[in-house]
Amino acid sequence: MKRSRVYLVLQAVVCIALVALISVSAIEIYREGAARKAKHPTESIYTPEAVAEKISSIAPLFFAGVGLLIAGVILGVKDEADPGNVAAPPAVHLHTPSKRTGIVRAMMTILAVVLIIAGVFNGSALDVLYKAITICTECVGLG
Amino acid sequence: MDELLKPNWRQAHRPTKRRLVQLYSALLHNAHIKGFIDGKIYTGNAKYACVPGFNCYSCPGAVGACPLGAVQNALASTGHRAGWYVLGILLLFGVILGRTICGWLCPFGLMQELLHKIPTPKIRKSRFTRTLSWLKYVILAVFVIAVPLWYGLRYQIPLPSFCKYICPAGTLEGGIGLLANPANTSFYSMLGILFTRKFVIMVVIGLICVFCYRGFCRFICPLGAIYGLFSRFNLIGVKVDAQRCNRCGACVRHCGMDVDRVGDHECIHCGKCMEVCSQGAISIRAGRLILRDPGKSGAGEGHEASARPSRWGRILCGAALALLCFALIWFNFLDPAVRDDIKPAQKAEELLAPSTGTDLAEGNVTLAGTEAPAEREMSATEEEPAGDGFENDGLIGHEVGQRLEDFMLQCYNGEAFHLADTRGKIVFINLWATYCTPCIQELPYFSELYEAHGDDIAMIAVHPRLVTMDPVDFLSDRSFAMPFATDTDDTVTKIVGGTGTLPQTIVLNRKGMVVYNRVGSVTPEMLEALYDEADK
Repeated sequence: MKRSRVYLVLQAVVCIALVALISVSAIEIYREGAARKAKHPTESIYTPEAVAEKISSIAPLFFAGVGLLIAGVILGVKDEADPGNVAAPPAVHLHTPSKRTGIVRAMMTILAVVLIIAGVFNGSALDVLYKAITICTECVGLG
Repeated sequence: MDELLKPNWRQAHRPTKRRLVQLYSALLHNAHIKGFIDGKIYTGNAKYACVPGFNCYSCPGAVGACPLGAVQNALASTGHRAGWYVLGILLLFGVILGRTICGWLCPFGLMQELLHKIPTPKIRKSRFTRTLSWLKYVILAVFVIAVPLWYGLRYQIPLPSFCKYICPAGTLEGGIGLLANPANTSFYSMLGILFTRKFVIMVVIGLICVFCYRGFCRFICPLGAIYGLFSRFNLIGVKVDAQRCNRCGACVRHCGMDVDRVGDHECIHCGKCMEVCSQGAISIRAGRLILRDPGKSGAGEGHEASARPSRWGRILCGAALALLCFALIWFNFLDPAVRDDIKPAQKAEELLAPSTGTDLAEGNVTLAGTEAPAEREMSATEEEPAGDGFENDGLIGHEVGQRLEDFMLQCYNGEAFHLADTRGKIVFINLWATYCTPCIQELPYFSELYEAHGDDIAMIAVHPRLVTMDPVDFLSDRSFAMPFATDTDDTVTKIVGGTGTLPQTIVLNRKGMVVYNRVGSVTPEMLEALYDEADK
């Protein structure tokens, strides 16, 4: 096995292990926190302390991965077959834009402008603003 | 000889023009750098506009609205207002740029490409990945269109299901972006199963992107799916000269995306195919105007660094840099439309100056400055009972242990809610909004608590002044026991330390002291526990 291949596999293992460890840590925090919350409903499931503790346990593997990454970048190691050296259908079907495409494009552009103006007048532009300046905790996954 | 021609490390790792454009775009999408420092999102008028790329609008740095979040909310609001604006913007982006946005402008696309640079064995594209690339259209149909539309029309509940269940950009930029700031440690209280699930989804998607070129973009991203629908009509993008093309298929074979032909719905117009086209048949064009011609600029990205930019290129670069500088200065220092930050807890003495914020006509009154003169002179350490029956503990503010500043609100039922009149009762204040799904889901719990404890508690549900649909209309076909009011001038939001994050619950004990003040959803058990805690 080539040395570069060994490196690539090692880096892949580190990446997978890191993701597994991060995921398991998040689930562990949740399980422990949920058990605590069942007894004391006002307590938080996640706490900065619990998160910091898990981060410190993940940190060695993370830094090992970063070290490997830096070494790989300096040595210029990469998957030889990448990017995209794959068997793909060689036939190339060309789509030649016709005059009709241009007309449809122009009509769609006009329609888009009309819709935007209509949206400004019917208040949907304001909806966008209101939603964007308010943090919807559920939308960003906070809860 | 070959060794001499081989570029050195520095040359080989020099960023391409596309990478520079991607970095530029990511910075422009997130020009509110101040937000990363103070942990607050940008709330200026620039958020009227949707940005072209996939960038969460709850990211502290974001200066525009996410088109995908906006379209879900627009669909959820279809029952009372058609979302013409968002549809128009998506149509405009689609027709002018299409998936060129994915390849050149999308900040999340940049992140995926950087993750893919981690040297590991890579998953090649195949018939399987090509089939899997249709998954994003299923996600678009189900999570972006069907579910928000169904919940909006059937239950009048805004449910941006893609954002809620999948979106890794929301978790990374919005969720973790906010949580990472020490100013937002109170946000930890609301984290639960939703965060755990989304966090795991995010890291798994990240891992996919390490092994698979643009894994999220190819298989999951509904925004790419939307832009892909316009592939036949893009004004700007990669075009093939049919006269020069010899149909060798090198362009398709070397492409990282699951394309069948250059410029189809999977093509992100990155221009990598220009490097491998021996005929020089591929160029990037805007209509008839050639933006990048392999015949003139050498070949593709690998050699572009040596090509000197043209005069127009230099002018364009200068203008782009000037725009970036302007954006950074504007969004961080000058923007006059930024809504006032919430004032921090203030000492009693500072609040004793006569209030200028009274406006009875609007039903929203701050009464801090109307207290008796004797009470105004109370020092921060004195604990004598005040004339209104509350203990004056010195500090007035919204933190636990502080006394909440007095306020009055005109309720929808015609009655006035005056905080000072609630003395001797446990007070629950809930900040909610018609456009906030968890807020709506927890309203029945507050109503049950209010009914269960009769006259022992006072409660009010306060809607912020930002109204996308009339709260009275919204509540007309729902039955809740507690009174509702609108915070017409943000007074209550400021008093309780609201940050624009919803929902928020504030509980006061019988002395008017804050015993709980947090953002995030509550459960019936939690409300009962809070009641017991406040009753101690």
